[in-house]
Amino acid sequence: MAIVKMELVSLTAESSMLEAVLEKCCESGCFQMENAITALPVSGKRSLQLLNDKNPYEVPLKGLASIATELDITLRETNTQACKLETDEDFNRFNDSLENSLRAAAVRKQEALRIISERKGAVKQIEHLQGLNEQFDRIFSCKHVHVRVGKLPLESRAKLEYYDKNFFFVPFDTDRSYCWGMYFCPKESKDIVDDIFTSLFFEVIRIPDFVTGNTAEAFERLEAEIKEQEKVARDAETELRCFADVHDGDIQRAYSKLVHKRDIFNLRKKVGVLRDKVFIKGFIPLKEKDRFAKLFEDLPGAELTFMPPDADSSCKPPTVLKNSWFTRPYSMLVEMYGLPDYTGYNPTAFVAITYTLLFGVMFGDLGQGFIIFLLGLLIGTKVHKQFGGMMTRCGVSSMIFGTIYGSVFGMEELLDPVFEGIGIDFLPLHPFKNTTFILLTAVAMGAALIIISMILNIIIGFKEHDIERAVFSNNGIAGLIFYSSIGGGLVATIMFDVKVMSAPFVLFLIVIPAICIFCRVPFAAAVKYKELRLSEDGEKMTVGNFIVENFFEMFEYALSYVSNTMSFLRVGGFVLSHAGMMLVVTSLMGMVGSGAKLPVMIIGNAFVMIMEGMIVAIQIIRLEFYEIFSRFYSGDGKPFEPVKAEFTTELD
Amino acid sequence: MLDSFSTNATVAKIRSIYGSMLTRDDFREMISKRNVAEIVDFLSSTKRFAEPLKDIDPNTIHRGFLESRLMRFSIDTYLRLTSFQGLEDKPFYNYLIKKIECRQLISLVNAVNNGLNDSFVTSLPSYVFKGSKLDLIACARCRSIPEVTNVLKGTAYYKVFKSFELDENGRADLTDAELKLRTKYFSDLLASIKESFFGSEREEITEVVRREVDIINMINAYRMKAYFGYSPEEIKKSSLPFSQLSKRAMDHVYESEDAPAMLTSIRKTVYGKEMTDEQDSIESGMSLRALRYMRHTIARSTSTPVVLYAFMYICETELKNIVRVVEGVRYDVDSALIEKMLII
Repeated sequence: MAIVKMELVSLTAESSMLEAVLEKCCESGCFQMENAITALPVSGKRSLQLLNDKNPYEVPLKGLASIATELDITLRETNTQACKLETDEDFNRFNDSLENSLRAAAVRKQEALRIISERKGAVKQIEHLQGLNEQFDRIFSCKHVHVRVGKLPLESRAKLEYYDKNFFFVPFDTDRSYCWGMYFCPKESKDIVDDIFTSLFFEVIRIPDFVTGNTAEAFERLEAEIKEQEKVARDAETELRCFADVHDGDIQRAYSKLVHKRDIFNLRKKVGVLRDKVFIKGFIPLKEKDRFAKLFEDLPGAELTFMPPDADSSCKPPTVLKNSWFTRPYSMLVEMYGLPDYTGYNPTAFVAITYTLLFGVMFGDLGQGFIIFLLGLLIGTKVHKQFGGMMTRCGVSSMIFGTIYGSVFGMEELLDPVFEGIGIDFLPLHPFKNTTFILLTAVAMGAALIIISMILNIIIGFKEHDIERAVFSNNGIAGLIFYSSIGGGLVATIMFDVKVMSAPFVLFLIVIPAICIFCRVPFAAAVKYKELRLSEDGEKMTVGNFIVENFFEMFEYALSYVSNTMSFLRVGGFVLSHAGMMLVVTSLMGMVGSGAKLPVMIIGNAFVMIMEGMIVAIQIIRLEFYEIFSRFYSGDGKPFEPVKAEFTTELD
Repeated sequence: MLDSFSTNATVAKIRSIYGSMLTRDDFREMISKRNVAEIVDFLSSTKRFAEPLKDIDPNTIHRGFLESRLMRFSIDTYLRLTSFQGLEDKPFYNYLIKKIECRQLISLVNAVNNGLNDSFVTSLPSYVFKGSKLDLIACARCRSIPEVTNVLKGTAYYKVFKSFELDENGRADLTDAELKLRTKYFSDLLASIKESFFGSEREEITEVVRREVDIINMINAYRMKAYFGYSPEEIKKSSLPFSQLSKRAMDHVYESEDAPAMLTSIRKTVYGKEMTDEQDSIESGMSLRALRYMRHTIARSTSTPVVLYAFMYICETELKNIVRVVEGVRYDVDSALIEKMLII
């Protein structure tokens, strides 16, 4: 249950071998590439530089994708072995040959579509002039009358009555926003009237030259033209389809190969170059070292150097979680929060145990647990392996605790005879008869989990040589003593009537740890730097500021101890809520006739399983992330993303 | 109290619309556009303005029409909100129409005084025809204030127009007319609040209105002092007779020796908090203060009239900002300068 060991690989090769080297890196499937250089080169010196070439495959790739779209070909990943094209020029030539062959048909189709769109636009405009029964050319050729066709915002129409100038507006059609029509005025008043209409936001519509006759005639002519052009477009389309059928295979192969080549070329951005040598570095899992080295054996001039993962401080090793069969599904939750650092602690096992335990406690039912287990098996094989895995484990836990509670599909008395028969008298633990016990146990469980989290934090702190974190922080030794002493003291005094809160107890186990937490920064600085500092980063801080800041922080810590512990009350709360909801289901079963009992039971159980199951699952995630992880875990690791060339039809 | 709870749905609706209003980033994106068509295209792609601009062609729309369209959308939103739970029966909820009427009448006085009737009609927002009972087209045909007064006979504005001081050509003193019309609007508004609401709700909405008046008074006082050298008495006489601040505090502002001293006095009041030395004008700081106050009001208040009033104020500011961006982009003003002019 740890983190997979990594190895830093440094790869040097001749520039001419670069493409082959990158191919091998992708083929390995386990190489995470890092930037060959992280700092800018020193000016004036000829040093290692990143390859920053423009990807030559982008242009042919886009071209081919556009040809495929034009030919209505659905692109899919295809075996590229039969494709003889290699360089970007080969691909460009291939595209050109395709384009030349289909140009005539494509141009015909585009021209037809252009005319159709233009004519349809004209139809749309003329539709609004349906009331006009006069020839367009006759209207526009008037010698003394100025005419404008267009649309007037409805808002402006009311204002027309204000003007007593010599013009008139003839409306033809009205939609939601505009009134379509034309206005007439003598040619000598043209400027004034145009100004008036412009100020009223009248938008002039230019009637295209190809529109002649009156509205009805124009309509007829335009419709006929549209039909004719649609036929031209259809014929061109058929021609293109025949072409596509013939060349589909070639296009699919060329596209797949181009995508692969483009992706391989993109990796060059991280490659360093110095004269005729290229330099690549990255990480591989240690266990893949031999296989990786073997891949490059037949590449002349390629030299591999393996180093420990921390050999290069400029790049951080990625994290791959190593988990057992039981804990593996729970890595999903850890990844959701953030991976641990490469040298950090893998909390998956802790999460697996606590999550399974808490789920069982909160959702204990033998029958429902079994259903969840079966569903988990099904989902694990058909839908989502990790989620299914979590469900099976939680299902088993639910069955165990269901047996303890004596609950089978909400029937709380079903297991009583079994326990009596075995002779166990303290079981089953009926939730409603042991409410206080369940709630106190939930809080105790929470306190235990918090203490374990603190111990983990102390171990991690010492491992990282962070004295403040391990010793003086609220989750360090001081915090642990403070929290355990107060908790233990209160329990002993209130529940067992043992007076442990003596003066030395309070002084050594509560006051001194509290002082340590309050002064964690100067104390840690005293240990680390052998001097007393009020702030870690050397920032100026007055004593007054220090006291105020830490007073509020202490207050927050104290509050978080209480609230985090009390937060676990929900565990007990859900035990009771589950029993309560099932009580409702059994009561409903009692209210209906014998024929309806089974459906009520099935629907009721399904409802509780779906609703409460989801709420419990989410609540536990909350407890894990907020109450537990916040004490010891920081998910600042880097995910492991090996380089690969992936087929895609989406282009930038 | 029950009445107030029964209109909670309106408050929720307002907050939901408020959430879709343009953000600073949206304005930045608008400023980065090259022309008005691109701005209109952007606006029509936003959730906020998709509906009013859905059948508009961005390439042909005139920016004046765009402004009118958006303003009309604002009014339509207001009418929708008030009719949602049948609030329009209360006199208070007619305030927006009265506000627009008041503005148009001030503009009409100026137009008639200067013979600019045609431009008045051109700039007359058409949404006024929808909600107002005034015949503004008939008013626009008048060539003198007595003629306008005659047309307004039978309306609430007749008495106000009758009280205007006229010169021998029948022209009214615009400052006097503006003050009288605004006073009428605000006194009617405060009276309608008194009539429509009770208790803390009445106090809350009264405070919001009075604060708006304070800001108007302070901006006017500063302008009168800085640009026209008015005396404290003249300023007091030209101010709206309502205030949320105490009379003493307002007098302290009015009685400042000169413009810088007045600015200092204003800065000391609750309204001067957002004023900085970088701002070009007093309006920026004061408007920003008002905007923040209205935003805060929307967030904290549960009273429908208060939230609605604050919301409409914010809508108006949003529209002003859009107009500034449109004008700025149209006339190729520097992006940084346009952004500086926005009240966000």
